[in-house]
Amino acid sequence: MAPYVASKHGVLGLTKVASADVARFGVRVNAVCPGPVETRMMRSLESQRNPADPRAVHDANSANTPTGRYATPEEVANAVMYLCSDLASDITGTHLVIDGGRSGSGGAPSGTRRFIEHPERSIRGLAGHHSMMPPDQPPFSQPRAARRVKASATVSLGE
Amino acid sequence: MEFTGKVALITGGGGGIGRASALGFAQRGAKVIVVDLDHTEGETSAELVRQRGGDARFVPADVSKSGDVQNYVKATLEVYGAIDCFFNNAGIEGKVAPTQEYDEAVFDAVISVNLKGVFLGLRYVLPVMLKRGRGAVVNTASVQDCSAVRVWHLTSLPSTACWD
Repeated sequence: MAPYVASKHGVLGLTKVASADVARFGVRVNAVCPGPVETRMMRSLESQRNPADPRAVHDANSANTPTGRYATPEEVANAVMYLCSDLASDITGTHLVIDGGRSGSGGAPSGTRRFIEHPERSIRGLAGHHSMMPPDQPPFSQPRAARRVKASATVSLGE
Repeated sequence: MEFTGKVALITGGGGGIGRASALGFAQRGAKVIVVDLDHTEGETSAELVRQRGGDARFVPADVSKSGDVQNYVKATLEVYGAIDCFFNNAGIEGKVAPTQEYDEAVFDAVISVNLKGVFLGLRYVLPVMLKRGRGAVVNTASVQDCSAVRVWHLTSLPSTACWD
């Protein structure tokens, strides 16, 4: 996926530069950032990822999304129309994320947590998924908590 | 939201998000130019708009080619006289493969359509908007820009389920 991801990062770069170039002249430039959407492109990616069972990829992606589903094309179109409309008259050089909460959930969406805490409940296609914590490591919260304790102890010593 | 009397230009208009946008803009009163590489899908989107009482035309284009981009801008101006909304949306997914094995030709193709195509759209639509002193552009990026922390999962584990 290197060129896809690189190109989409590039699109955000173009959005920022172009918006600054034309903002004073009454023209706005923004971007939409869709997560998984029910489209031909996602069918293609699902099939490439698991030719034998693309539906399993769809199910896993859905489970990995806080809303539990893909976006519809209409939901992305709504964001596009909003950004094009006069309702967004002071919005330029930025992006709207339409991803059912995926990026807002900090890399460990609800479906993932359920899997970590209850691996027996994992759905087809999710089992052994490496985007989640490896099973032999503690959840994120443990090392983070440990770091916080250490930091506060250092502060106490300084005082 | 109301787009009566406005003109919406949509690349990748034959596909899912592009088609939904064509129908959405048209439903709210806009005249729509559907641009797509695929004649059948592009024409179908325009026809769907017309069947619902809207006004739409299809213009075929490979958005990675400057001549095609200049042509869809020219065609839009000839048919509807303006571009108020530009949905710079056409894109392809390429192949699912790790970076260390990625095919160079596919890399070039994806960058040509997704990055150069978006640039060319801006390059030739923005002057039209600047001339009138108004207009709005929306480019299609991906949540893959916004959650880069998880991007690596894509390439390191091509056989697993995660998408972003």
